Amino acid sequence: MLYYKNNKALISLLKNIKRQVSLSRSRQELDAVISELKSFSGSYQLNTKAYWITFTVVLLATGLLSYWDWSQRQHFQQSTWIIIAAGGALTLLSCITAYYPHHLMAKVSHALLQRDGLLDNNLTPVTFNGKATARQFQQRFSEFHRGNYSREIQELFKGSYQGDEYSFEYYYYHFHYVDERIVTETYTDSNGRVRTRTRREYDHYDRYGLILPFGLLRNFAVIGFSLPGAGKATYKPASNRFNKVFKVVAASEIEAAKAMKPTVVVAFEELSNVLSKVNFEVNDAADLCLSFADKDLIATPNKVKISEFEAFIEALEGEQEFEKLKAALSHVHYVMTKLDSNF
Amino acid sequence: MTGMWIAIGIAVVLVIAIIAIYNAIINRANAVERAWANVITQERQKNKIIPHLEDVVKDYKEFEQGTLTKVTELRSALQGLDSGKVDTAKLEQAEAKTGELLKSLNVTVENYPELKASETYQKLMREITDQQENIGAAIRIFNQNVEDFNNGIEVFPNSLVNAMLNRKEKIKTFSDSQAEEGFEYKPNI
Repeated sequence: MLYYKNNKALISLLKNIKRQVSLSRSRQELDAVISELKSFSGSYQLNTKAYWITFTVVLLATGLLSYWDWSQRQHFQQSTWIIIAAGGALTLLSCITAYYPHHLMAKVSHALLQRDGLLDNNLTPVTFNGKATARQFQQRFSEFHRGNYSREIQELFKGSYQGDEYSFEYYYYHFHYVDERIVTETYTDSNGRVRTRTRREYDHYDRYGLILPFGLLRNFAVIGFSLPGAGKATYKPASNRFNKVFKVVAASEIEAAKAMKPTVVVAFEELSNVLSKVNFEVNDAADLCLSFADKDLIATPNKVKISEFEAFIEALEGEQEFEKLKAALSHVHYVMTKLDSNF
Repeated sequence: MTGMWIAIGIAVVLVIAIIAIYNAIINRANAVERAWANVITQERQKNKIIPHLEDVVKDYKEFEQGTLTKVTELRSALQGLDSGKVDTAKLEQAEAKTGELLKSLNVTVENYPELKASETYQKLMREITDQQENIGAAIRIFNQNVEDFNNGIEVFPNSLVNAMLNRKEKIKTFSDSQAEEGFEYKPNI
């Protein structure tokens, strides 16, 4: 009702696209959404100039009227408050009316690019139960033994990697956990007595990672961030730089020394320049969990909006690369090739 | 009385700082030695490959003669390496001999297509490449540790502690573009 002509049609299209993008799972489904976007006959530019002018006028009018009303008796009276309340509501409404279409445009543009980026990188969303999956992962890896209050997987994607020597399937996850702590504080009551009371505080944390079958090692970890329950490090490679960031935990010192060849050590040094708080944990089933604190591994690098239509379509039609994801996967592949060379 | 305690406090802090700096210099020097020993260990791994190389080329008379000379030179260069003493000149020599041998192999093998295509030869070349990468990486680690050590004795007040107590000298990093090229891993971003 507040929007008319092209703005109205464009907002309706954006809402429709938003709904369809969230449902799309395959390239074909996303292509159908993009075709619908392309077939829009109107302009992709929002014209909100009139809304911003209305917002400015209402704001100024509210200010001036309130001042005029106040100046009659030099104090706030009931009518002044009514003007402020009514004017304020109108100002807020006009501001939201002007802002909302741009917000929707940015949101839908990002959703489309994000979905396209996931498909470009062979990532498909997996249906899962957040708490149950966290429990399953907890049974497999020490990485998930975090959070004394709650643990939950919030995102899970399945992907595949094709390297020169190895190809493998992997899962990308977003793990959220909460630590509960009891805080004791002192206060003075109404009688002036100093008393203590306790309250619970909740600290929220997020970790991200890749899980895949590794096969070349068992019970081995390169730890760059605390790993609950991990054993004591007994082997240190020769690199100062590596030892500043990581510690190595393996079943024996000889196994650790065999795995930590100079090329592998330097590869980890390089990885620590790309990802932060890295843990490389291989469990007793020879599955790898490469975890880190970086949340932007699968985030689209494009910021272009539908309003810049040609550039937007160009970004969708091109191959989007998730550089950090690529670096993490090529690191895993590189370590695999280095550990597998037995002469 | 208070003044005396302050003076004692300052002296204690100073002594602790000197001990910490002294120990840090020793730790860094040990890390350099360890990294150097690691480079030499990697270099000596070539001794494991040489017999396989000799086996592979023994049926190719013309090939064998040229290669064997290079193999002997490489063996001799490897023997000259001492894991207990940092000597980058000798390392450079060993790396140069490796380079010459690989170059000679690559040129000569073109005349023996069946050898070039054989699985044993390809496996051998893969192993040599892998070893060269490990040597390149070990040299990189050595150079990083040398840089840490040199910084550790040159910055103030470490330079004073070193001049008075440790008396360590600056170590030269190893620079050999050929060896560094051997290490192929490059980060993606």
